[in-house]
Amino acid sequence: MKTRLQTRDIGAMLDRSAAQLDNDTLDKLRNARRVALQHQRQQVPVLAWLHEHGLAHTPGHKSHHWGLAALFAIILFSGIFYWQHVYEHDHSDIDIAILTDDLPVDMYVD
Amino acid sequence: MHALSRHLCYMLLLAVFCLPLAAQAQPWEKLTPLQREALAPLSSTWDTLPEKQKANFLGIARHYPKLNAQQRQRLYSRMETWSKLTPEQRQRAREKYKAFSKVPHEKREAVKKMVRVQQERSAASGVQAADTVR
Repeated sequence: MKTRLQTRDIGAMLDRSAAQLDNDTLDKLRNARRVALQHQRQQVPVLAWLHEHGLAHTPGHKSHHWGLAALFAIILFSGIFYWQHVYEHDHSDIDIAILTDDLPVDMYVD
Repeated sequence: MHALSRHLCYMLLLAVFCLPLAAQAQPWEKLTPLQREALAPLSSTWDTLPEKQKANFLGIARHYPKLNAQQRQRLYSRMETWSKLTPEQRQRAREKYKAFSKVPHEKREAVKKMVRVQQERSAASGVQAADTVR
C-alpha cells in the first residue's frame, strides 16, 4: 500500500476538493482574489498607470518587472536620444573660437 | 506615500517628454542677465532668429564669462555678421577653421601676419581716399 503522497497526488486531491466546493464558497474565493489583485495594483503606481492606459494586461511579478523595465527603458532612451541630439548640434566651442579668433570671420566665409 | 511616488512618476515622464520643448522656447525677456550681456548685439533681432540658431548662440553665451576684454570686443563686432550667414555658410566656415587649425603653427602665423598687413594697407588706403575726397 502506498503510504507517502507525491506532489501530483496532493494537486489532484485539491482539484477534486475544489470541484466539490459550493457556489457560495466559490464566490467568496473569487471576491477575495479580486480584492487581493486590486490591493496589489494600488501598491505599484507605475503598474497601475500602465493598467489604466492598457499597456499591461496580466498582473503578476513577471509582468510588473516587464512593465517597469519597459518604462525605464523608454525614459533612458529618450534621455540618451535627446542629449545625443543636443551634442550633435552644439557647435558653440568652434563658433566661439571663430568669433574671437585673430583672423576676421570673412577669412572663413565663402 | 503611494500617491507621492505616483506623482513623482508622472512628473518624471512629463519632464522627459517636455525637455526638448523647454529647450526651444527662449524669448529675449526670458534670458538671464549674463546671457543678455553676452548676446547684446543681437537684442533687436533675437526674437526673429530661428530656434536652432538661438540655441547655438546660447551655447556661445556660455563661453562669454571666460573671455578677456579683446575677445569680448571681437565677439560683439562679429556676432551680427555671424547671425546673418546661412547655416551652410556657417558650416563651411567651421570646416575651414578646423582645416586651418591643422596647418603647422609657423604657416598659420605667416598667414595671420599677411592678413594683418593687408588689413593695415586697406585701412591706410581708405584714409587716403577719404583725404582725397576732402
